[in-house]
Amino acid sequence: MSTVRFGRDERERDPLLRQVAALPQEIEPSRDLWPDIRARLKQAPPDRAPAAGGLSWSWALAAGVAVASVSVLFTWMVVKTPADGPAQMAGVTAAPATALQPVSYGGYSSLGADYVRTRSQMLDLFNSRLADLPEETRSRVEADLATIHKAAADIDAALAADPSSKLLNKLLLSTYQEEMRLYTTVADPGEAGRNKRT
Amino acid sequence: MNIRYAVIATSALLATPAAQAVQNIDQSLPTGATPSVEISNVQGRVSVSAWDQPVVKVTGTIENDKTEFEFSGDAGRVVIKVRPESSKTDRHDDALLDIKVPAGASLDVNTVSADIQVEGVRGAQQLESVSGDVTATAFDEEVEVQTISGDAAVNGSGGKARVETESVSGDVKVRGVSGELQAKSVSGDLELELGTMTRLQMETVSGNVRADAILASDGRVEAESVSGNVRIRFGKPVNGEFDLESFSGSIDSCFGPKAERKSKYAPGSELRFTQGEGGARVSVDTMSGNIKLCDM
Repeated sequence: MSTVRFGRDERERDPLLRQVAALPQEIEPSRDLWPDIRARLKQAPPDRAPAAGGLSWSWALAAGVAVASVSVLFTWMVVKTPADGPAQMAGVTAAPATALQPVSYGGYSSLGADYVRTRSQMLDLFNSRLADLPEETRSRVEADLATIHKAAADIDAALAADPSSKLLNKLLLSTYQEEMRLYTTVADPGEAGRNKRT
Repeated sequence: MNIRYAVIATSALLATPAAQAVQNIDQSLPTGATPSVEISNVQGRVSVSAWDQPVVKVTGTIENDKTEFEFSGDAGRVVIKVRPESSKTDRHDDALLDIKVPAGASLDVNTVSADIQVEGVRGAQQLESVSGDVTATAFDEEVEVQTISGDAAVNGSGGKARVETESVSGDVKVRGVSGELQAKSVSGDLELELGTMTRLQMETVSGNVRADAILASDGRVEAESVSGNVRIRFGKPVNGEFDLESFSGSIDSCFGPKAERKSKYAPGSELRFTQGEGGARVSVDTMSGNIKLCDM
């Protein structure tokens, strides 16, 4: 999952962001949980294994998409809203005539309406900012999006052969995330990209 | 009491009528021992090195008198910004900045095509470039590097810094880092020569992963790729639980049993085993990328 980054000014001004910044990055369990989990997995009779497995992959995938959607929406709001008025959007220009299209996922994907809508908005911003990049970088980004397109198509084709594959569903979820990471990385060019004076 | 200094240079310092004006920068600002230093530049170079003085010093040139240079701050925070005249200009004027900072400074550096080089800075570092290459050294504080097409290189120094590198098509090289590393790319390759790792996470879509690492006794290593190959070599002795799976790629390990087909009707193969005393956990997933594990 891509990390949303805020400038120092935003972190200092916004009390909520200050509180978020103060939260621990991770919380370690008080003990290593793996030995107990491993022992229970070994004890579980085969016919109980699916129940112990918890969420099915379709639910897990849907949950993953929901999380990605919220993250992308949050990122989109951050990069869409100027932090200091004109500077934030100074680098935005009209989307190029040949705007890039989002990755098309096959019949095995679980993209919700909210996700698709948010991704579309994010893609508009991505296409706008893409026009500001050096030509060589733009070409490489376009090639990378094509790489993700191909990965999604390959995974979809593989899922046709093995629809219940946990591996393939996991990689499909990662592909959603990589697509979004590409959009957010380009859409938020950072301080230097925003500092161009018009 | 904060002492505030602000210097805005918008006119040419060395201008001649016939030639393009150049701004020569040579400015200093007293700070504390651990200031946070924010630097942004569009094009050219940002070279940051540490020294033992509580002073931030900037030297360099900006090849355009229309470009605005800002250098301001106080004891705790310093801002260095280069602002080109327009985002749509066709001019390609480099700003070459050499910046000295106290060794304990933390950095937030952001560029478009300018390369970023950081040496000897022991505070936290957040380094981002669109197409510039980024080179940094990790000590004990967190280092985050993000690029789109630029290459990223992080060298360890024996410290325990947590390192995060994200690139889209740039290659990622990390050497000599121990502890925690997260490395991601879409098509860029990941080349990692690491020490003892407690957490190692590697993700690519089509980039290849080549990693050398020593597993900590409770280490966690995860690698994931769609079509890129994953090759990991572990320092001896290797003690860990391994979980390797590929949908259509091969799985080859120098230790443990042979990989088995998951199904006679599907191409997938998997390999799960415990090596030595276990303890660490290693998980590698690919779709069509090949997986190869070995010791060294």
